[in-house]
Amino acid sequence: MASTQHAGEIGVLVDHVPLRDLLVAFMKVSTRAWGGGSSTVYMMDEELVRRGWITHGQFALDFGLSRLVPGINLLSMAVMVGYRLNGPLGSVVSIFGLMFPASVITILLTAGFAEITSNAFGASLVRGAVPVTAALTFAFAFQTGREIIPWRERRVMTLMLLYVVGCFAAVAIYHVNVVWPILCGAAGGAFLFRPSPPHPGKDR
Amino acid sequence: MSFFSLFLVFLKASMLSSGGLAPLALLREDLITNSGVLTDGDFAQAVAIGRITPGPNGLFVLSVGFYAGGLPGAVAAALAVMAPPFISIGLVHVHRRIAGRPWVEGMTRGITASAIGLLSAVGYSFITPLLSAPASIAIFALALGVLLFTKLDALPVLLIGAAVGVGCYLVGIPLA
Repeated sequence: MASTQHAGEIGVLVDHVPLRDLLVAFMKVSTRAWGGGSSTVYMMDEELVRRGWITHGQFALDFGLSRLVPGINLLSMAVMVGYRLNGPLGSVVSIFGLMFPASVITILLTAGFAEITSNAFGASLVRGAVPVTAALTFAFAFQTGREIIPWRERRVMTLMLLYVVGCFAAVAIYHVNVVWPILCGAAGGAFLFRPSPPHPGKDR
Repeated sequence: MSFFSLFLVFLKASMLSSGGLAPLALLREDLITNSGVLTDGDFAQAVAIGRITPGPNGLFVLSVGFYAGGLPGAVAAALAVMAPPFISIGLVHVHRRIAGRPWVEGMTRGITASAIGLLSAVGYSFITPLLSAPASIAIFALALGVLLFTKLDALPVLLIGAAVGVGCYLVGIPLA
């Protein structure tokens, strides 16, 4: 049964998408989206919206919601979308479809890495890639900060930046168990990082 | 480590983190610092593989699982990362009630801020072994610049880094 939403609105356009179609759609994404999370998001959106199952608005909403769930956000998105499109079974099929081909490729590549790195030429390939990996980690942290930190809320922004630096120092220098910064961030954030109330007269 | 122990390690990391590379810090603590099962080199390779292969970045945990326990380790990691996302079904139902509440937004921000700090700490641990080789540091700096200031994807940057590594090998420049 199709609902009445249009493409630009938040909404699920089709109910009870056949499980086979869901599986094919997510396996297609899982096979094609080389290069990690960014390409996966792009191809998921392309696949789900072009098939006319959900709107771009719904995709964006679920993308935001998935960040509230522990674990890999894109797997949470697959579960949410699958659930919306065909209930609990749809969620299982969707996450399986997104996981399976990519997992097989990842495991095969990992197993091959031992062979590749056992000779000098292969080892030099990896030695060149390792500094890039370090750069990717910093770039990801920087880009996440750029998106997540509320730069216009000066008090919250300052507190969050201080907390980021504190977490870094606690773990990198003082080797604090990493669970504590996360739990303290959640508990403290509920009080200290709340969105600042809009300035009177500026919210119109 | 046994299959079940590895499953619990990955489940804990998955439950206490949010985002692709966020479990890195927790996994590093359990598999390197506390147990010595893996090395920083294993981790760096696992992250590199995760960024190349299709699917979410977080699938690097399968590589970590493979290094820690072979195919069963990778399966343990896969099963562990598939569990937490099902919490999102409950979220779909309660979202309308809690969305927009300031404390929810604040809590999300707090978790994300801690993740940024922890990720930076992981990056720091990757850099430390590179300090002995100026060429490795140069590759790091150039790659970071490219990633931050251009729209080039991770895959070509990784491939260029690997090619530079081969070039350094051929001309005799040491890399860490």
